[in-house]
Amino acid sequence: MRQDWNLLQLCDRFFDAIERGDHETLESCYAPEAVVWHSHDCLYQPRAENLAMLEAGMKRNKKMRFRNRRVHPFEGGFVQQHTLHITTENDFEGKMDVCFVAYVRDGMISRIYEYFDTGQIDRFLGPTSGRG
Amino acid sequence: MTDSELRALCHRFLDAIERQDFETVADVYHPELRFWVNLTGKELSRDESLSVLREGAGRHRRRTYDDRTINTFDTGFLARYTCTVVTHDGTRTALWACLVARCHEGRIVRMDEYLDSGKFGRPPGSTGG
Repeated sequence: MRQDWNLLQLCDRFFDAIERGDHETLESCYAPEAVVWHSHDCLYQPRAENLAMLEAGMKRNKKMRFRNRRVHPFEGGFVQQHTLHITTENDFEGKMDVCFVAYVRDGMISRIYEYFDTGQIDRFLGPTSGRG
Repeated sequence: MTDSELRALCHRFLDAIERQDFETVADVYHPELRFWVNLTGKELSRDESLSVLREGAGRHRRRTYDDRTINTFDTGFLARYTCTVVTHDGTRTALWACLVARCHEGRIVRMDEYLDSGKFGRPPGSTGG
């Protein structure tokens, strides 16, 4: 049986933790086997590598906010659509529309599929971001 | 709508686009449909979306929605898929995309599609953002 309330709570806990820069809570949301897939390279990123990337982003950027969150729980997971707003260390304010799909096991996220448009990376990180 | 009905609706929609069967696509679209795409951030109406599909039909030899993974929720479905396009010169391009749809009474009322324009024009199998 689906437990929507638990899925919604997990979803909020995860994104609120990133906004607060709360690494401990963020880590507790991931199952030990968690992997993160991105639509731009189709590769599964291991748990530790993804957590390190998120932590670096939380430290580097002055602010990260997930706005216009629209969440749909489904059997075994949830999908959240949001606009990620960041304020970079150079005070650039960027945004990116993201679709975040999570599959959940034992109350923790075990697999993530994340979709966004890398063609808009300059609008997100700034024209001098140096990203290709 | 039940889980089975939502899945059937999703396949009916994607199959119809593959076949360029725009009559079926029009039937699947609710009269009040809004279609948002992340590439532009803009919403299209039902008629605008159908026009875009009809106008784009001749640009490719084939377009298929492969590796479909569908999850349903109370009001709609999430579809993740590989969109493979074969152009008239035989070049194949694949991009990985997803679609979140809200449905009502057997039709799609709203769609949000997430594509990666950074992938346009790259052959299948190539990686890197």
